[in-house]
Amino acid sequence: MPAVIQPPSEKLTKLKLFLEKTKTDFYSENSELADWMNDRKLVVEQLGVSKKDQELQQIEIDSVEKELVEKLAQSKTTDKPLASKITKEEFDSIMEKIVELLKLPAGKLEEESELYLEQQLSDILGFDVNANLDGHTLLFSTGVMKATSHLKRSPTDTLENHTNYHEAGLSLNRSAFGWFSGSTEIDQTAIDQEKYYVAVPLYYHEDWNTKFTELKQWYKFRKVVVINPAERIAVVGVIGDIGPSTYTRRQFGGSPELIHAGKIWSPKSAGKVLLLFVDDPKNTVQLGPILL
Amino acid sequence: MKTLDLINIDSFKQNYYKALLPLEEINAFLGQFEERELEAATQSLISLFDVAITKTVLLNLDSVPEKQEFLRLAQDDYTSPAVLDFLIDTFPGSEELIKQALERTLLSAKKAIL
Repeated sequence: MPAVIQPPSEKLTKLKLFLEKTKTDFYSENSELADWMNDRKLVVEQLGVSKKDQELQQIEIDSVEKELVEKLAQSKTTDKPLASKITKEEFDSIMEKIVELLKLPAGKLEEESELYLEQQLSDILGFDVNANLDGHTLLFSTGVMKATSHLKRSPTDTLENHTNYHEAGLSLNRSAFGWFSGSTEIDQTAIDQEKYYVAVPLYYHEDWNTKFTELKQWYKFRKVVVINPAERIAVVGVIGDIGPSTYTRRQFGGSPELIHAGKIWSPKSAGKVLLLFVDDPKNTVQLGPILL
Repeated sequence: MKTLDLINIDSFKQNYYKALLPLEEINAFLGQFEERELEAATQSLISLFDVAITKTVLLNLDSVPEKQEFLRLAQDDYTSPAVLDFLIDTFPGSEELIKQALERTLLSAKKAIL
């Protein structure tokens, strides 16, 4: 009987949920120390992690682990399986194919690969992904993603307001698409969109000079999925900025959280990713990492 | 059952209470996970121990300054014997307390994954 690809086992999910509960209990029981610990950036669950490894571990603790547990807990309660029906061999073959494609120069996928990957990845992820959506295509589907800084979500936003990765800095300018939030109040949508934003080089679009208003409107906060086949992690994000320039030899930019959550920093990945649109007209696909 | 060589013992040595860890039981616990998830399970268990031990220690320290001193030492060098020395000096029976907390946490983790 063929193996079925699944998210982390029930045992691991339960262990992570138990850890989350223990952490929650700890922080609520030691609330008198919360400010003091916060000032020192002391995270109890990271004490056993060497400083050298903390950045690498951060992904597990802050992003993937927490959000994966939340996602899995949710998928469990709604009884909506994250698992696809493809076999393990097929899954490995798909990942290997993407890895091979990413070894080629950055660009668009050939039609045959495009159709194949759209179908297979939609099956794996449980939602529709496309290289072509509403007649729009990205200039690059494959390429190298560089880490970018945080973006201001509103005119009064500061670096301190961003939860993680202050070392990434805060861009002096707002996003090329404008503010993430319409007012000084930053809502959860704006937080999530900035947290998992992707930059694409829209300025090089062949119709940019004549149709930039229309293009900007369509691409603004458009949902995409970043596939990192080397680490077998996908991250759903939004197009939140325009860039990078061609001289950087990078085709995409990614928010600090996205780079960490997708392990795009890892030596195995070397920044190489596949980027596809998420066809989500009902806005049901959550932003964040997905363990493939 | 997996041998001790199969689990990343080094990961469990990055703390001041390494001498008190029930390695055989930890090994048996981790043996319940699929091999592909061993690293993730190990990291989760280490975090679990760190949170549980810190919680126990803080509960047994009388004053906020003492708690802060312990956390400061732990943050500066979590592997330093100075952390355990401080705890032993501050209240007797620290080692036994930590040992019990580790066993209790492992037992809770076993129940949690059932």
